[in-house]
Amino acid sequence: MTSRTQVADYLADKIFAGTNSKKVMSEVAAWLQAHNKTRQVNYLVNDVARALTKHGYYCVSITSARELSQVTKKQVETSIKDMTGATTLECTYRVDRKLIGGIIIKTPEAALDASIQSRLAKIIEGVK
Amino acid sequence: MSDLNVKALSREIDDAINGLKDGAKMEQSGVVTKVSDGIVWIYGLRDCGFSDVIAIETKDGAKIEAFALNLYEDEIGAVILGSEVGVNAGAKATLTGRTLEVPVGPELVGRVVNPLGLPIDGLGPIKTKQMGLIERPAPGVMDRKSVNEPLATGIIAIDTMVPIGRGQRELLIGDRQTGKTAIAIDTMINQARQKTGVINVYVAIGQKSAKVAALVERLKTEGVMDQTIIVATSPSDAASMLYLAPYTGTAMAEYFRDNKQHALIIYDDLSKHAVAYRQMSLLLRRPPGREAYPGDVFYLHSRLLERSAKLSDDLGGGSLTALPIIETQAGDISAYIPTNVISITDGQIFLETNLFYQGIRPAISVGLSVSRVGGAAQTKATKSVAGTLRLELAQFRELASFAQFSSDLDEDTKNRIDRGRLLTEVLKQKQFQPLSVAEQVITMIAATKGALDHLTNKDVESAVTRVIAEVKKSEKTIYASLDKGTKPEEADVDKVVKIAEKVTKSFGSDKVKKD
Repeated sequence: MTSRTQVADYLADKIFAGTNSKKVMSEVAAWLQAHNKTRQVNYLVNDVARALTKHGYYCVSITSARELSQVTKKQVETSIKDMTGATTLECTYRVDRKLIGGIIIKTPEAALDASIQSRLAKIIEGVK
Repeated sequence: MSDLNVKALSREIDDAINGLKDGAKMEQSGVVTKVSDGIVWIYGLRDCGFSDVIAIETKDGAKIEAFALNLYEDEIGAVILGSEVGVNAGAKATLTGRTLEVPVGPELVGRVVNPLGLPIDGLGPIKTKQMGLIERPAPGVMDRKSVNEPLATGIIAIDTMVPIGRGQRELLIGDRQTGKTAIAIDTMINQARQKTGVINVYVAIGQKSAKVAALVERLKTEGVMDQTIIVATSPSDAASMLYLAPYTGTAMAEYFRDNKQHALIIYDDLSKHAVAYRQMSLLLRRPPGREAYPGDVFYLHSRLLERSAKLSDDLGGGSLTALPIIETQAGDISAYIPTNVISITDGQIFLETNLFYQGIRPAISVGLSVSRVGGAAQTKATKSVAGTLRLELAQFRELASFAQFSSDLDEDTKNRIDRGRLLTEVLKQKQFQPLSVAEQVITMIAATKGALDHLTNKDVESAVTRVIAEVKKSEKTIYASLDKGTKPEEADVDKVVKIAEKVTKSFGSDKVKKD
């Protein structure tokens, strides 16, 4: 049986190659319907994002405690490219005051939590 | 408030901060998609390996550990170690980079621990220096030596008829309440009484907590706890804990095996272990096979028991002897799990309900019990008296059932039946009273050389006790030599027989009772 991961790989390859997306989407929709997996669309999208990393395309979510300046954003994106080897980034920026400071970067495969919130939590855990 | 130490607190915070210096790095994370009956399904964590430990964040920020058992392309099925309370769908899951391991070492001796190696006896933390992998490959062919040293159980019927050697796997099998655990406990007690230095590891798999508590008390009373580790799980524990318990016990026992020592491990019992594994497998949606057990239930036990071995001299010559226990239903040893474990082990001791209720205890079925190591695991002294004992007893039990239909028996048959009755009586033994090699050999000499033939059934036990005491008192050299396992000279045998005849004279001259 074809797994969701295999479908995601197929879809990512087609998207990257610029194939007729309407036809591909209807194929994927038919597969989801046939295998009773229509509720797994979110997972499939994540799987596609992960599969696209093989082509150097990274869909990244960046969360910080304050709005980042353009210069900082540029620096962050450069360091993400250095860390992951990405050639193209699709960045989504978010602000979450609960982080107190620092940054959380999420790529399709991994996460980097360099927030003050998590560091404080680790200190508390260490002292316990 | 006396525990408050501000300086120490400041140091601890400094240490914690130092520990964070290289803390921020990319880590794989996944999401819990489903939680049910101790099983979690996780999306993500594509680098997760089989048996890797996964940390799951609970709602209150605590971390619960699980280990991966099902690795699919799209999701991972993991078994939670302990309770699933607090784990919800959407919880973050991360790889810890560890596979399952437990503390091992001599520091565990005398303690009662759970399958994660954490103490549950209220005696404080255990500070071990080493950790051992729960799942480890068994020693290879060249790392082993054939079993050649006896592991004395102190039970005369076992040591003479189905001897167990160090490094052997001997199955204790029988219905409930037939004395399987009693044999295992007596064997542990005997290691302490005979000062063999063998470390006992008792693994209670889903045993009632009250039973384990009583066992610990008994072992303390007998002075055995000082060389014993108990890995305990109760029926209220999660199936994952029951599944891990025997592997944990084995990891702890292997430490001694690998350090030139001898260890004995008792799995009480593997039937419950198989049931726990079946529960986990069914919840992980693995296809059920015979009796709904998964297809790898044989491998579950074979990889466990293969770790019990006698190591070669190059590796120190240590050994790990296993006494797995299997509970049968209505004496059916041809059920799935019993036949599996029978085929894995080097022999089995089958306990019969009928014999148990006839007062023949230990209720060992001579015909169905066997030790595939045999004479190689017997001292020369025991071997010299065991002879054809097993055959004689098996013939007696056949003849005894045949004799019920006929009163007119020839002389030879009558003699065989009389001898069988006497031997059955001699082999009866009370619990918690293991016998030394010398005591066993003296008993068998007295029985097989006819010195006890004239006794009634009720006199046999006290007569044997007195014979042993008399030999111990008047023939110290012979007694010491027998205790070392040396084969007795003809003259020594004669002396023992004479003492036995003299002692038993006072017991009257009635023939052994026929009923």
